Amino acid sequence: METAVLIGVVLAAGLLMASGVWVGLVLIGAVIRIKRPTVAATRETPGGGAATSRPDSSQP
Amino acid sequence: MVASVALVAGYLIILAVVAVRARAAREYADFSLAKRSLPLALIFGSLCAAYVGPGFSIGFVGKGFQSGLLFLLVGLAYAAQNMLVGVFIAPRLRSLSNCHTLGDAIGQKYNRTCQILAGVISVGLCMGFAAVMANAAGVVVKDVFGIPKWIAIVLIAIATTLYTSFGGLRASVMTDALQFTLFTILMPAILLFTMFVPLRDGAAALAYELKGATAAGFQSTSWVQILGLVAAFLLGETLIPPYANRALATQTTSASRNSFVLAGLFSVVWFTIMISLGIVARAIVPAGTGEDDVLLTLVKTIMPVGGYALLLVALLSVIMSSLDSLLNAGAVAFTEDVIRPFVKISDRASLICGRAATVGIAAVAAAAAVAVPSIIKGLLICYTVWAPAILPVAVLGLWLKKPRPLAGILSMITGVAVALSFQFIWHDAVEIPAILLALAAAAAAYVLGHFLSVIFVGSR
Repeated sequence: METAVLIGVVLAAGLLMASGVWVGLVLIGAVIRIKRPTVAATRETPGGGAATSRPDSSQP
Repeated sequence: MVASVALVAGYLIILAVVAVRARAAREYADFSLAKRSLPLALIFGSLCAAYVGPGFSIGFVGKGFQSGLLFLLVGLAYAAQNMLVGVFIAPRLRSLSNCHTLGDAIGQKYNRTCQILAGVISVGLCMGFAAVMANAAGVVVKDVFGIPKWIAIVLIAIATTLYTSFGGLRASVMTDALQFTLFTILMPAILLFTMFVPLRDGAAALAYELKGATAAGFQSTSWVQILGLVAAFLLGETLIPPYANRALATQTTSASRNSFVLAGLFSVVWFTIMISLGIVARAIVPAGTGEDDVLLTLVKTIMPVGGYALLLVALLSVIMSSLDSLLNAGAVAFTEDVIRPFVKISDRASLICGRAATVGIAAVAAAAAVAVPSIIKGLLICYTVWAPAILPVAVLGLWLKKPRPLAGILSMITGVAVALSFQFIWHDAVEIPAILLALAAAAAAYVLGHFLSVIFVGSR
C-alpha cells in the first residue's frame, strides 16, 4: 500500500511538473517569436519608401 | 515579510513583462479571440490555469483534509466533463464561422433574443465567479502585505484588470501559461517537501490518514449529496464563457478538441496532488482547521519564510489566471451578446466597449467579493445557475438540426428561475440538489418549447 502510494504521488508530481515545463517552453518560444517579425516585416513599398507592418500573429 | 514581498513583487514584474510582450489588442478580433491564432500548448495551459482556481487548489486541499478521497471521485466527474466537451462539443463550436462567444453560437443556432439572454447569463456568471476569485485573492494577499482584505481585493483586481483590458484574450492566455508553469511546478514540490522533509516517511503517513479521512468523508456525506456534487462538477462548469472562448480561439478544430481532452487528463493528476496534500496535512495541521485555511496553515507550519512566499506566488498565479480569464470572457460576452445585437458599433468602439466592460465587471466582482461564503460554496452557487440555464440550450443547439428559439428562451428562463429559487428561497424544501432540479426543469421546458413550436409554427 505504502509503495503504491509513493509511486502514485511521485508519478503524479512528475507529470504535473513536466506539463508545466512543456507549456513554459512553448510560452518562451511564443514570446520570442512575437518580437522577431517586427524587424523582419520591414519591406519596400511600390512607391520606394519603407513600410513597417505589424507582425502577423495569426501565423503559428 | 521582506522575502515574501520581494517574491510577490518579482512575480508581478515577470507577469507584467509577459503581458507587455503579448501587446495591446488593436482590433476587437484580437481582444476577443486573439485572431484564432493560439497554439495547442498555450490553449491547454490557459484552459487548465482558468479552471484551476482557488476552489480546485485551496478548496480541494481542504476537502482532502476533511473527506479524503471522496472529492477525488467528485473531481473525476469534472475530468470526464472536460473530455466529453473536447470530443463532442468543442470541435462543433470551433467550426462555427464568425463566432466570438457561446452566446454568439446560441444566437446563430436559435435567434437574437436567445443570444441576448445567454449573454446576460454569461456576464452575470462571470461576475459571480470573479467575485469568488477576488475573495480568495484577498485572503492570500492580505497575509503577505499585512493589509485589510478589501484593500488586497482592490489591488489584485486592479493588477488583473490592467493587463486583461489592454491585451485581451492573448494577454490573458499568455499570462495564464506563465502562471500554469509556476503552479504546476510549485504545488507538487510542496507535496513532495511535506512528505519527505517534516514527515520523513510521508508515504506511510499518507496511506494511514487516507483510510481514516475517506471513511469519515463517506460517513458524513449522504448519497444524495454525493450525487449532487458529482452532478455539479460534471455539469456546472461545462462551457462557461472562458472555456468556450478558448475553444473558439484555437487555430484548428483538432487543437480545440485536443486541448480539452488534455485538460481533462491533467485535472485527474492535479486533483490527485491536491487531495494528497490535504490528506497528508492531517498528520500536521490541527483537526478542526477551517477547510479554506488548511493549505496556508500547513505551509506556514512546515516551511521557512521563503517557502511560504513561494506558496503565495503559486496561489496568486492560480487565482489571477482564473480571474483574468473570467474578466475577459465576461467583457467579450457583454460586448458581443448584450451590446452588439442592439447597436451596430465599429470595431474600434467594440474594443473600447470590451475594455470598459472588463473594468466594470472587475469593479462589481471586487465589491461582491466580501459576500462570498466559502470558496467551494461560492463556486457551487455559480454552477447551480450556469448548468441549467445554458447547458440544454447550448448542447442541443449544437446537435439538433433545427433548434427552436422558443425552446431556447423557455429553457434558459426556467433554468435560472428554478436554480435561484431552490438555491436561495426553498433550499431546505427538498433533499434533491438544486442543480439537478433546475436542470430537469430546464430540460422539460426545452422539450415543451420545442413541441409547442413544432405544433404552432410548423416544421419550417
